[in-house]
Amino acid sequence: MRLLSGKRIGQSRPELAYAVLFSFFLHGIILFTALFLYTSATPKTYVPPAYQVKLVGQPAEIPREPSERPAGSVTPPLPKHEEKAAPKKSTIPQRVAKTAPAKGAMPELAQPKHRPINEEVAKPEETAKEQHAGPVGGPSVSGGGAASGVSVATAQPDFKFQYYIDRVRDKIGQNWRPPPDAKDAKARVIFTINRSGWIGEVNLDTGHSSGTFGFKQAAVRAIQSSNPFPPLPDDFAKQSLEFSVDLMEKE
Amino acid sequence: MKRKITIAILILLLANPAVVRSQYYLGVIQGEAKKIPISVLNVYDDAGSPQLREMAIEVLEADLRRSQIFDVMDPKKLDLAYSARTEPPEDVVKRAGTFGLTGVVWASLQRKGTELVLSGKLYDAATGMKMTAKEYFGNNDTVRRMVHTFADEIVTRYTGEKGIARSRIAYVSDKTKYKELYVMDYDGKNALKISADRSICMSPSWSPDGKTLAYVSYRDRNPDLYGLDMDTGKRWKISGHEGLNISPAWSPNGRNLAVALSKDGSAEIYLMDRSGNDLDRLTYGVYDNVSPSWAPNGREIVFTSGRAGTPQLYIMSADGTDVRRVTFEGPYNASPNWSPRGDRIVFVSQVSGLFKIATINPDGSDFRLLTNGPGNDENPMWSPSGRQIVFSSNREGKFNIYIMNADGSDIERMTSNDANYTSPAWSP
Repeated sequence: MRLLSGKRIGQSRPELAYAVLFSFFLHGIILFTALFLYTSATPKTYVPPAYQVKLVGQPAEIPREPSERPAGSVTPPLPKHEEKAAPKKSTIPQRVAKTAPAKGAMPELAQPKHRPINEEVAKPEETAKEQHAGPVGGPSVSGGGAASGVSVATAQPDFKFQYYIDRVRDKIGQNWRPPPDAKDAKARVIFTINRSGWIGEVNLDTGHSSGTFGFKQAAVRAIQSSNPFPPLPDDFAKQSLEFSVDLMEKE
Repeated sequence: MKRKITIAILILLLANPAVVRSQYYLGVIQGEAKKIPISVLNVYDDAGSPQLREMAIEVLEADLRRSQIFDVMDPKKLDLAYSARTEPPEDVVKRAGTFGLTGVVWASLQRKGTELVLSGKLYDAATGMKMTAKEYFGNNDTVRRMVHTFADEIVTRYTGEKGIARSRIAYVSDKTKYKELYVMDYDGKNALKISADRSICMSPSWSPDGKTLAYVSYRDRNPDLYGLDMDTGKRWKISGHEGLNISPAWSPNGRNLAVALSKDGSAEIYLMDRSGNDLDRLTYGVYDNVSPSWAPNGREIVFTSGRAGTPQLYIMSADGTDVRRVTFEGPYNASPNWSPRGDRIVFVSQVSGLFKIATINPDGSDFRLLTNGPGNDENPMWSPSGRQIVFSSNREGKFNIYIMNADGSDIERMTSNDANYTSPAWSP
């Protein structure tokens, strides 16, 4: 009302005191409302501290042992929606094999990424043993990397699904069409395969590549043309995996 | 405070993928991939139906072989007989690996109440690991479909691609005294008549989602274009212009059809929506322009034109611009179909007076004649995987539907040679 009457507030000491008190009161209401909204809108998920610490020191996924699952069961990531897409007229109601819930499953939000890590926390000695033993098939991948005298990258996770590696290599091999006269050229491509088998990012590692621009482009195209790859193995816990591959002139 | 630190650590981890990133090195790739050696170890009959078991093995092996991905080995020849009721133990699977097999398939047929259950499992022969396990429910009449579904699952596990075992082929047959539309499984079984126009039907074309079939029918005494909803059976006239309304081709996004119309004189290619509206003319000339087929990216259309004096293949942009000639060999090249991968075009080429199937690169290079011998081979079309080609041929007297590999090998007749079977269209 003082404003409406054209006079400035605070011309007298009591008015100034009232204005300051009113301001405090108003700020208090705003802060309380903001706090209330924040606490009610944020989901209250409990994240065990140990689980975080292990995540830092976890360079590779730890696949669950098949024996941990009931015989005859399997975890299907893709087929659920794929089989829903079957023709309506079909008289075959397809169902996916029932999956036993994993032991010690985390709350829903954290479950997909961190379940295996939680298992590792529970059995640290077993994990260590598995890592030292190395993957089945070994990280020295088939395909003659060593035989060709090409150095192999050192950062390799404990990925024990050799059959999957073979399929990825096969598919790239089918789509690898280098330009002519590419002797001694080599292109290293780094790419990600998501759980469903579709590729994510595809990048040329220029530091480890040689040859013409066309040769390098053909290498990137070989990966892109191979999309989609097979879905990641059911027992592989991560949602994606990064690969690197060297492409050379065909033998 | 503790929670804040936790959140901060999480943010740091998410912001810096290098901390958790790990990479698998695939080695060096120089050679071509070969077919994957695989074997169907057994389909155990736990349902008291030995005939169904025999059929399941036969269908499964045929599906895997036709996928063009596998080299299907006979387990008996490898001394790998396994007849137990339970799934093969790891040592049995690994033993298969010692014979050079990559994959081992085992399945069983059981009854659960009134339902028949196909339980299928796939193993990696090198490690003995189970790659997938699925159960399919149905009855005696749907065993083939259940096996097809399992075969497609195996293909997906190895390639990431959708298999073709559940696909179907639409075609035209004069089994009745009229030329009607039919649909059969890709392996020639379960044929079903889907039109009763008592007239001449031709040129079926599947929409990309496989739910609609566009086709040409003379039921109103003019070659008009119709749409048929494959779920409901509902049919509607898409285009009934005076003159020809022929050779429909769905755009890859399923919104438009490229169709040849002769309402203005010569046959020209037009774009229209699935109701026949929004007509957009793409080609102009005095000679006919027909048989459009879309590039899988939807940017270009290959078609047949007589503008050079003889029918030849041309490619234009989807808006009708940038026309270029593709074929120069021979006096007649027509009925093009662009491969699902976009790298090849299959078409009919006249050689020594007979129509034969050929393929070519979209830039006009690498012409390859795929068929030879007696008779005319017509209406070629790629399978959804791009590994096979279906076509019709009268090489055995009457016209039949045949399937062959993309390189022209392994030609297989899919129809019974008791009538004429033409205009095959492979579903997505």
